[in-house]
Amino acid sequence: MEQKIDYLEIELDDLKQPDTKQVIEFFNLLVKAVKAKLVYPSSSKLPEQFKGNLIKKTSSILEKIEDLSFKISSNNITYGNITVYESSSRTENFAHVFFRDGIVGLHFHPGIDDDEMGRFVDLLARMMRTIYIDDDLATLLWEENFQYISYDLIDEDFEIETFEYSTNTFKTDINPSDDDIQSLFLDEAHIKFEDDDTDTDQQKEGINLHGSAYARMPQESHDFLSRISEFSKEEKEQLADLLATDVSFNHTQYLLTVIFEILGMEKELSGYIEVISFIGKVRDSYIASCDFSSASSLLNRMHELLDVLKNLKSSRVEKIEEFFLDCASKEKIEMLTQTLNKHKDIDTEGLENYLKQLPWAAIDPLLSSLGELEHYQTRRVLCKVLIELGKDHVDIVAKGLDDERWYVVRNIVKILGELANPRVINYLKKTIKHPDYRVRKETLAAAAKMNTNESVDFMIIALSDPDPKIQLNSLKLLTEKKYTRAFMAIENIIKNKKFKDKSPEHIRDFLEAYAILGQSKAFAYLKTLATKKYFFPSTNEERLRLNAVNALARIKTSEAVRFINKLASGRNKKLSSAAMRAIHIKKKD
Amino acid sequence: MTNPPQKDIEKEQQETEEKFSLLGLEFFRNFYSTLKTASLYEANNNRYISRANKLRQLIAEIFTEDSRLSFVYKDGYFFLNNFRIKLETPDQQIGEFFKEKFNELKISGFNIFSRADSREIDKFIFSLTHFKLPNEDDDAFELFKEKLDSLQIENVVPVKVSDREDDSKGTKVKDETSKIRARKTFFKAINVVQEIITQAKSGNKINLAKTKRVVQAMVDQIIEDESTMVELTILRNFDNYTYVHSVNVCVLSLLLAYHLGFDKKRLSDLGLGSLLHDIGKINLPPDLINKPSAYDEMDWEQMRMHPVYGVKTILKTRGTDRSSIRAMSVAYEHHITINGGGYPELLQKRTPCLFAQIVAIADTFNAMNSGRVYQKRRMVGDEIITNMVNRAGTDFNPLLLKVFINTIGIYPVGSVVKLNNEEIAIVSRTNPDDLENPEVKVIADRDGLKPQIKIIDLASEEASNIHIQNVIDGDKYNIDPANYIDLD
Repeated sequence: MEQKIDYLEIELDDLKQPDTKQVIEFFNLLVKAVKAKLVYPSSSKLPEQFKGNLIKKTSSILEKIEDLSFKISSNNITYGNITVYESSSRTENFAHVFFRDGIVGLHFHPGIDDDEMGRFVDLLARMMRTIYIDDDLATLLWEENFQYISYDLIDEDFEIETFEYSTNTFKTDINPSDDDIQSLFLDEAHIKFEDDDTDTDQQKEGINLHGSAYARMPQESHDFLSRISEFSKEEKEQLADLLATDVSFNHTQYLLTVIFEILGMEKELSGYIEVISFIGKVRDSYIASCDFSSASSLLNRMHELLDVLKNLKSSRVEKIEEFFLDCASKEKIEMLTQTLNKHKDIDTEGLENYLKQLPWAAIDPLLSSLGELEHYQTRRVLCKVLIELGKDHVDIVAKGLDDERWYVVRNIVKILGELANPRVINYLKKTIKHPDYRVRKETLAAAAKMNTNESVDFMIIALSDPDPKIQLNSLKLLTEKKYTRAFMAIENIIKNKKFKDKSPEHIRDFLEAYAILGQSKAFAYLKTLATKKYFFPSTNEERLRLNAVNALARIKTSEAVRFINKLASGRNKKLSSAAMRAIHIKKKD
Repeated sequence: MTNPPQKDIEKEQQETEEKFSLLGLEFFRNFYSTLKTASLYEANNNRYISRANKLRQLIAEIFTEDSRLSFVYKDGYFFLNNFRIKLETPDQQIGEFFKEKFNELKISGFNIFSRADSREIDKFIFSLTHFKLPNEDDDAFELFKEKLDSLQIENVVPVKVSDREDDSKGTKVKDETSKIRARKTFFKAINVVQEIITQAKSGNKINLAKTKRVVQAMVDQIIEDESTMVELTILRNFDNYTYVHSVNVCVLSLLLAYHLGFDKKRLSDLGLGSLLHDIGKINLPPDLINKPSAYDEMDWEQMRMHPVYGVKTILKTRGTDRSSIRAMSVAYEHHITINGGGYPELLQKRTPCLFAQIVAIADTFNAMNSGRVYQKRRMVGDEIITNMVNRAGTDFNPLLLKVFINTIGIYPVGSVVKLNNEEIAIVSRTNPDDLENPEVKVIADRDGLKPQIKIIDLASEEASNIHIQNVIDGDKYNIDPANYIDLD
């Protein structure tokens, strides 16, 4: 019997004090949930999973204990006598995040829900990520107003009273004497005598207002005050609207409105310059926080202002222009680049709108930035912007072609191609010989967009490029656009002894292009190739012959048509079937 | 089986929250009306029966959502089943009633379980209404619990104010009375303002975390015991006018916003903005600030620049974070009137933002109540209220002013008044339920100064024959209300 009682007592004790292992596990889950939030991107489901595990654990542990309380010092966190967390690191120290802001105790109470725990984890992750200068954990915890998480805070400023101001600062020597009180009553009697005929207390409906000032107030004010405690339905609704409007207070829009109002108020140039410098500061803060939409709105406002003032040619216009030059400076673009590399979820539309408003002076630093940007999406935006900014500044954009990095040069060639300016071709002459085939390929594409004699020359040059893919690309472009000037160049290539050793695709495409661009001029040579007799033809020679037949079908002259039909009905089975196939393909085309 | 999508869960949560928020407000008002009716009528009276029936229907509706009804007050807010009840401005008076009632019984609220029948609920209502503590030193909670047990009320359970609720707040200074905490917070705030101004003058960054901590402590103090904080706003010190004025404006702004139903985050932002509302004055010549005579047009021209200087100072010494932009809005617009007038003169007139509207009221009130440097005489309470009411709709938002007067009273704290029984008193506390009859400290009568100060709540039954007859200009008779505040 006794044993049974002991057993029950032990059981009760167990229920009162949760297994320390469980507490340690709970704390580990808390740390893991915070770290997951720090490590994984917002799109990942893992942080939510960790949070879910933590919430489950919290509920089960709080079923056993009313208050789950931890003590915090600079390097460790304890539950009773058990250390649940320890770290001597200054940068990744969970305990220190609390301790540095004076939080020495942390309590979790029954009733905590997913939302509260989730907000707590998010808040800790924010504080772990960076040292907040503007806020500390204590102020943020206060703002969150958690219902089931509480904390012990030591505020030294409050504990140790070292204020300059104290009760004595406000005590005065002014104290009434009995004489003062006597004269008060005398004055009162005098007033009463003077005002005897008037009723100083306007006693009507509502609150009774005693006081000479109240007696003198206009009727409208009196009505307002006598019904001060009554709120009509409309008034309640108006108050609710007032609060609701404030909830949607737009900080960015407000700041822009105020700062431009102040700029407009400045009478002195020095004040005007000061406000412009503030606008610069605001712009920098928007960029640092990746708020490109606001940064773009800011530049837009500056452009509007410039449009209004530009005819004045005053110093104020100069200052705005200087502001824009500052936006375009190397230093500012480098700052922007660093910010873009730090963040993954960029508002690309806002970024594009911002960059498009920069002056052409930004082209040079933006070209440097192009080589530094780590994310594809931001490079893409930058290229789009440089196409816009570079329209009338081909020479500046082309400076970037000297960059040692092939990918920068390729992007610049692409931009130059999009500019569709005939002057671009001169720069492409340089890049068509670039050691990297990707640059040469882009050059070819850029040249094709020009549609000039010079661009055709480019494509003809590219037919002899060391890279077979570029040769074929070039050939394709020339054939598509029917640049007959390329005929001679192609003829030279196919008449080369080594031509037969090229890849099957190469031989087919070149002979086809030769036929399409040369037509009657190409007939004789292709006929020769198709009918040439070999005693023991090699595979390459055989391939050359069959591809020549195929190419002949592309010549539209009657002589060529007759010839191909003759081949189709001839005895040579290989030539016959090749000709029939070519005729068939031609018909299909 | 698939889990419901996250969006659906969120939507469901939002709907539950909205539902409980509405039910909460309805319960809050209905329960109050029932208690008030119970204080006047017997349980078998038709008026009570009708009122109680309404309440029962509401409770039954809540039980369809949950098997328990939990009504508690915590950290300045009321909750129904853990959902915050969003009170409207006129509900604040009811809130004060519950706070006082709960505080008296040392409870934070109560739980009603679905097993409770209507008789149990009625018994609980009457117990709550009529319970009186025999002695001040008695354990109110235990006695109240005993009373409920004796009436066999098992399914309506009061919730004791836990140690946690007493101790867990951010600003912890154990074993101190609320008054000492209020005083410490107030003086600390003055110190912080001084520091801010020194930092701003030297162009250094303002320590926002420190400033926010003191603001948050003030909010906590207002939630806990607003009257003590309000009483401190009558302190004045001409040598440090700017610092004291900033803190006073902060307290009064927070008070108004708290009664409007601001949440803690917004109270914190407003507090910061109101502390910094005059920061632009650091750019004005000290001679102008301390000018002993009235301002001429040239002086005013300079003075009218301080809102713009305020924005510049905040931009220089802070960043463009949300709190700082809010502070800027207050510094810039607190002299712009509700009809778009005032200063700075805007090219396109617009209504100032809500924060600035609130601070404008608090600023004007405090300026008149403490007396400026050049005009050391403070205006008399009824003069101030009259002045402000006359400007409602042109200078101030009339609705906000109405809420403000409801919180500070028609005889603001510090007003020197003559009572109809020929006694001279100082208003020490406003009664939100009875603005005509505040709590006063009697300091003198026809025979001269009283040896012992007597506190009378003019709204109480004992003082039903006493009322305010007139408002007195205290300065004229060397009566400084600040000397009657219990600061030690």
